[in-house]
Amino acid sequence: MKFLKISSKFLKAQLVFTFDLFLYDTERDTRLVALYKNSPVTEELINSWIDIEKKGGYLQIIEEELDSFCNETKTSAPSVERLNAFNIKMDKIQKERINTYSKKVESSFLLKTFLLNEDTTGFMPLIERVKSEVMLFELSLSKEVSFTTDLVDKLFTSPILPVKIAAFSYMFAKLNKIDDPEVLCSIINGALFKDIGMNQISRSLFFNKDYYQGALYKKHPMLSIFLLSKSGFEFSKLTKRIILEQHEVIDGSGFPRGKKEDFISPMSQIVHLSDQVIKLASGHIDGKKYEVLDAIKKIVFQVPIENLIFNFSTNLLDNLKSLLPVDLES
Amino acid sequence: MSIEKNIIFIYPILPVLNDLKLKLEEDDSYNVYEMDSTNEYKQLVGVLETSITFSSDMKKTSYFLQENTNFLTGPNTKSFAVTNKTIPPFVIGKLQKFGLTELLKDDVQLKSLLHKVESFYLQLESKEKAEKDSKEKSLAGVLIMNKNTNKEVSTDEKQRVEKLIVDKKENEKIDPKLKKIDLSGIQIGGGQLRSKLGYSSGSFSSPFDNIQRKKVVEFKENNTQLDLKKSTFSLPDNEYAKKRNNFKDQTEDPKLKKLTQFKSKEMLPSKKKNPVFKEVDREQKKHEKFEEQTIIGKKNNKFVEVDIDKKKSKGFEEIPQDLNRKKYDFKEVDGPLRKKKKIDLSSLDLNKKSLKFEEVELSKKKRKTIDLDFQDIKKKDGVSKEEDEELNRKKKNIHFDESEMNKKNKKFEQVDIDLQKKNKSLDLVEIEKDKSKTTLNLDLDQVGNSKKLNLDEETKNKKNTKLDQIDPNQNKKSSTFNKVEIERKKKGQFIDVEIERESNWNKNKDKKLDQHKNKSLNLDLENKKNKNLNNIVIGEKKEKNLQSLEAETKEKNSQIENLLKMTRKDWGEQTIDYKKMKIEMAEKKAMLRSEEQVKLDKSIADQLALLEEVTYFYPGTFGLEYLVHEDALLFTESIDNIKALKFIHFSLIKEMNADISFYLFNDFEADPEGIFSIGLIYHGHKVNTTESQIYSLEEEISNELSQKWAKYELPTWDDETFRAEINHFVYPFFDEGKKYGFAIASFKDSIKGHYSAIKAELLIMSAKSIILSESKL
Repeated sequence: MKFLKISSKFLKAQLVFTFDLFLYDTERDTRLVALYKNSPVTEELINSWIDIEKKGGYLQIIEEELDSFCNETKTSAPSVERLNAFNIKMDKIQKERINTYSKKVESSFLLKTFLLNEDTTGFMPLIERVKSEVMLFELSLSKEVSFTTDLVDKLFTSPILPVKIAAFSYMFAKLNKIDDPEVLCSIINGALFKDIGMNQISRSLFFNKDYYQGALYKKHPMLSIFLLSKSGFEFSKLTKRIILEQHEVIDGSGFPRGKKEDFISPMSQIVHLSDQVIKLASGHIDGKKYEVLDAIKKIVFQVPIENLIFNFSTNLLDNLKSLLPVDLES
Repeated sequence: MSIEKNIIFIYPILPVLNDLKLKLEEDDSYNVYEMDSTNEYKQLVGVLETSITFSSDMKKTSYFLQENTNFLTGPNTKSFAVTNKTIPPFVIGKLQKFGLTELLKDDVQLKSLLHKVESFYLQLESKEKAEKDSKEKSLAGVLIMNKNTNKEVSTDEKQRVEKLIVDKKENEKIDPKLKKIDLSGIQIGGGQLRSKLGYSSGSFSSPFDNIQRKKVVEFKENNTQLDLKKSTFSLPDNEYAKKRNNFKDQTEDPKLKKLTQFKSKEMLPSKKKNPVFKEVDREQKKHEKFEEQTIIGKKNNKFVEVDIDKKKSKGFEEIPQDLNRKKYDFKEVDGPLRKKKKIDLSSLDLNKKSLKFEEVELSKKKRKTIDLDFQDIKKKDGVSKEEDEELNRKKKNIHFDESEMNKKNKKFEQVDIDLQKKNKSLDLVEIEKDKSKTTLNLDLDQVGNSKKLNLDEETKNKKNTKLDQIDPNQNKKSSTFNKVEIERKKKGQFIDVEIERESNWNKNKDKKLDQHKNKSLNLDLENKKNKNLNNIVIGEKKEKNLQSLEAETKEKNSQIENLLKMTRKDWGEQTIDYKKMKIEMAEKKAMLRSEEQVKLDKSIADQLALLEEVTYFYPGTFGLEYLVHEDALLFTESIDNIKALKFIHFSLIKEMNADISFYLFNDFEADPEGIFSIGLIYHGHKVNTTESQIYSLEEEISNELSQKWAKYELPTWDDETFRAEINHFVYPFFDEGKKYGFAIASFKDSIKGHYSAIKAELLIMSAKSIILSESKL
């Protein structure tokens, strides 16, 4: 059931409508019945509604009653639509997205089968799948969800490293039975923006292995948060936490705060683990490229690479292990 | 005796009460009443001895409380209201004044309600038990006293005894025939007789009988059997009415008259067979055994002088036993009595001048009733042999009966003291019994005899003087009483009945009955009618009073009838116009529909208003996707710095239609003026040189402008109001306090506000990594 915004200017005294009029108070975020159906409109009422409109409130009717409203008030439908332009636009976007992506989501998608069968170097099927699913998130859920849908729409077109990590994080989170769109969006955003702070550090250091042990490298999560704060968009706490905890390890050996075990958000660990899997597979850790399954196997069996030990919670590692085929499990 | 557990539910009730009702209905010990209207409740609650009322509708609750305050304020009733609304305390207080026990909220547990019900009835039961025990104890104490010692009797007791003796003497005057009829408790065409006799009203029943009756009733109560309840009240009357009719029919039959003459003996076995009497005997046997023992001892000494005529007095005292039988079961008692009446009527002789009282032994268990002396009648009828036999039999039993009667009298009196105080309810029972007993049934045959029944004041005085001489000792009482009786017989005086006490007692009875009209209105009417007969006073002086009494009774009867009219609803024939009904129903339905529809519409609207407002959020990315892309580029070794800067330029063009150029300071310290130390690493303005001369900064770099921009240490907009067509933005790159270079971005009508300005700044500052990497400082 949707409501359409109307103006008190459309109303005249002594009219009796066959529909109910509602009054939405934006300050209190509440809706009241302004006038029940078959009740006459009075001058006093109209004046009171005008006062409320000045304060930000507005009158509403049910969308289904638009025709009867236009007939009884002798107003045109476009004049009403103009008042509801934003919502109508959003509706259209939503409908278009549904039309485009709902069919793509109909078929089932398993990360395990993707890793086994598909050419993982491209990662595009996974990325497209994630994109299709995220694009179906409702635009009215939250600001961040709307933001993420647009971000995914723009970014999930090429298999760049942050997008790969974000896509893998998303699917791995779903594997861990995380289905809340807002949480999933935070995971995607965290995975995408966790390293943007690196652009405040000299690029020449990135290809030096010693850099990753230095204090400057350990600043990048904070720098990422700084850049996000400069964007003017208010990200959720979870997103920020994921970015800040992206390098925290459960044994406390991580950075920047050296958090341990339960003090680290599971979502942060998911993003961290996904980051390690993708970076290891893409050769960003030891310079060697691996198949994703091999990278997963190394992480699951905690094979030390370049003095780096993959230390994650057993639950996550078990779930990650479940992605492995039977012959690779041992 | 168990208490009737009555639970009344007044509809509508809340689910909690409904659960309670279902729970109680499962238990057979509870009588659950469901009431819709308070009028029904009004009728019911007055009849029920104990009750608990549950209600939910506060309007109905207040109504029935106000209507039935008298009933509900008693200790045997409770009323609970369970409501889901909040009631102000002053309203609760008022309701409690009217009789509300407790007001409960709808969240009350079912268990607690059950507990309230059970605890209430447990209390009542325990009270009743305690009362019974105390009565039994007191009775036992009396018996022990009588057995062991002849203690001095208190003055009150003396007075009581004297009164009893007076009553006995008065009873002796009563026409034996009438007395017998009185005992039978069956009306024999009383109404007809009254009119033919010319007596307006009067009572043929003995006051002594009533006293005895009362005692017997109370005595029986002490013996643990108090089965007479309101519920059984109606039965005796109905039965009695039926039997009365039957009796008339039988007596009118001449064949039966002959048969009944010989039935005095035949009655005995029939009574023995009667199970009711057996029950009575169980209770009385103990006392009787004791009495037998004492009688055997005293027979020769005290009752030598006892004559046949003494039987009369015994007969009077035997009445209570008959009454006892009635108390247990009226139906069964009436059976043998009916037979007895047949005999009586058959034995009536109009020509006989003197009627004698004779005692007839009814059973070997010493059950006796007053019967007419058949001697003279039988002689006339030629039944002399039977007469002799009867006389012999009576002589044998007379001594025993006499002493037994006295003993019982004692006991009854003592028991009466306690019971009169405690058992008010027994009065009702008495009324009931008395009603059946005091209904005098006279036959036309008695007219002749009744003329001889005169209330003689002189004889009264004589009686009193003689009674004064009576020894208060109860053992001697009966003998003296009999002496007086004999003397009177010799004088040939007829025994008249003066029943002042009886009439007073009957009046009290009426008052009580009035109070209990709701319980037994029919009975009440019967009683009123009977009262007219009971109050028959024989004598000239009394006739006037009788007339006034009759008038009073008529008035009362009319009042009762009015009451009946008021209380009864006339459910007689009614013509129902179904057409009208249908039309009315349709109109009502239509009204209801419209009202309901409005209510429904409003409720729907209210529900719709509660729906959450759908607020859409614009899916903007604020240009952050370029940062992600840049992040990916930075980690790609194959992409050099210039390409990365190009990407930033590309993002600015795409987002804000802007050009950007990046400059580096080569050695700022070596060249303090900085003119020659500035090195261009990326010239973005070349792209749009054709569009505007401003973008062709190549020349300007060497100009003063570039030198000016190079000195900026903070990000600076040329026009901070964002109104200029072309707005330049200078962003210096600092790291740890050291300036490494700067970027100059030119925006053409793309920066409209602070929001887009920040976005541009964010994209430009992302080039820091490359600037730092390219810087050789």
